Amino acid sequence: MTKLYDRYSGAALAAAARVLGDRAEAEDVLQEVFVRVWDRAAEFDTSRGSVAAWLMGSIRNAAIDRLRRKDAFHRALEGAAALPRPDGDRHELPEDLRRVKAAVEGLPMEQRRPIELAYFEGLTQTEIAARLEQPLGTVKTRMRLGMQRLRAALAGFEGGAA
Amino acid sequence: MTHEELRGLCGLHALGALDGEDRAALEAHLADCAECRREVAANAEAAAGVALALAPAAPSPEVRLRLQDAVAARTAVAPLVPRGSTPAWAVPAAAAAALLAGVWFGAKLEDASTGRGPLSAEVEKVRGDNRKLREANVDLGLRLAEARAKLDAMEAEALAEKKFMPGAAMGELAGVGGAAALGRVFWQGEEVHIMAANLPAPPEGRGYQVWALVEGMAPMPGAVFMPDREGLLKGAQRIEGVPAGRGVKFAVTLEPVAGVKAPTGPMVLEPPK
Ligand SMILES: [Zn+2]
Repeated sequence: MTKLYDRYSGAALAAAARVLGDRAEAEDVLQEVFVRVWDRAAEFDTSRGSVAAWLMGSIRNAAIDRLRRKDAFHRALEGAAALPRPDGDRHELPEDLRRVKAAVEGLPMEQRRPIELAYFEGLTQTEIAARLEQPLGTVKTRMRLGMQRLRAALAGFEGGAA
Repeated sequence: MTHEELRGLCGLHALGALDGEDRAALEAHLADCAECRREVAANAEAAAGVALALAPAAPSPEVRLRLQDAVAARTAVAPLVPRGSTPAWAVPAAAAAALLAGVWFGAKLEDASTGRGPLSAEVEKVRGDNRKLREANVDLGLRLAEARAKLDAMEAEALAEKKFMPGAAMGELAGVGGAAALGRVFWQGEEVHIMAANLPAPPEGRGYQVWALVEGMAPMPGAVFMPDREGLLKGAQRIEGVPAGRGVKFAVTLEPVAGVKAPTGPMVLEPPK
């Protein structure tokens, strides 16, 4: 149907499912966001960033919003068992996505972990410091370095930072 | 904090991780520093990489179908234009509309996804049409935004008072006939909570009755509610026969205050088409 859907729905679903821990809900988020994308495609301003970042940011925010509506008890019950099985092996990953994956996987764990806690769990710097039992200053520095590395690794990727 | 220090916070901001003074300081600074705004945008690109790096999971084919339906419905009804008061218990999405939506969807997104170059004439046309519609409907748009804000406040209040579980299913309701009314329904099994904003005072002897709609079945009657002076309506009820799961929609009609077993009055709030 659309290039955008074909290209990003897999990553978008994986991200929403990672946040929500529930495939059905992740699919709801996916649908919601793609409908919104359709509604607002005419307003999209290419000078402000890539479609990939816009789309993935929307998916992430919608999933985090939904996550916040659920209580912790509910979340624990639904658990990780419902996570969709990745089918990365069956689907050939496009070259640019493979580069992104390599860049993220290339981050030192001490930088990657706090970034993922912010992205997938919606935690703030203070919450991350508490979760990781590290000083706030250390967490901020590591996240900043991690983001710098990611940007450097992604430079040149069509959806990446200039 | 200096510009350099604030610039260093842009990565965390793009991840939504700033809080406290850092967040307040950067947000104030972004209002008048274009360089830091660009910095946030560039970091947002990198942040998207975090999600793109996950092993993709193929959505079920049903999602694509649901998406096509949703888009077809939206193409049939122009954005922000008051809908006609068609008594629509079931509006079949015309095949032609679905086809058109497929074409538009494709065209618009393909253009957007290239992320560069001039947008096609079609997209320009959609953009122009949208602009005109928006100008003609600024007032309605503002009133809808206001209704949405009221609903958000009511929902937060209901959640704080533990009126319903945060895990309850949620459905949106739209005003019929350009009334700028909006509603939300939260339900878990047969227990159904409704909230609505911008509802006009009903005529003497009438109230707003809730209906649960399941495809292939007669509408299931809920309770009759009255809005307060500000047009806000909220209430809980048990609607017998609501099946488990998400295959339920809700609507609101104007009915005698005692309630009726099958809808007779005009529809006031309808499920998303
Ligand atoms: Zn600055």
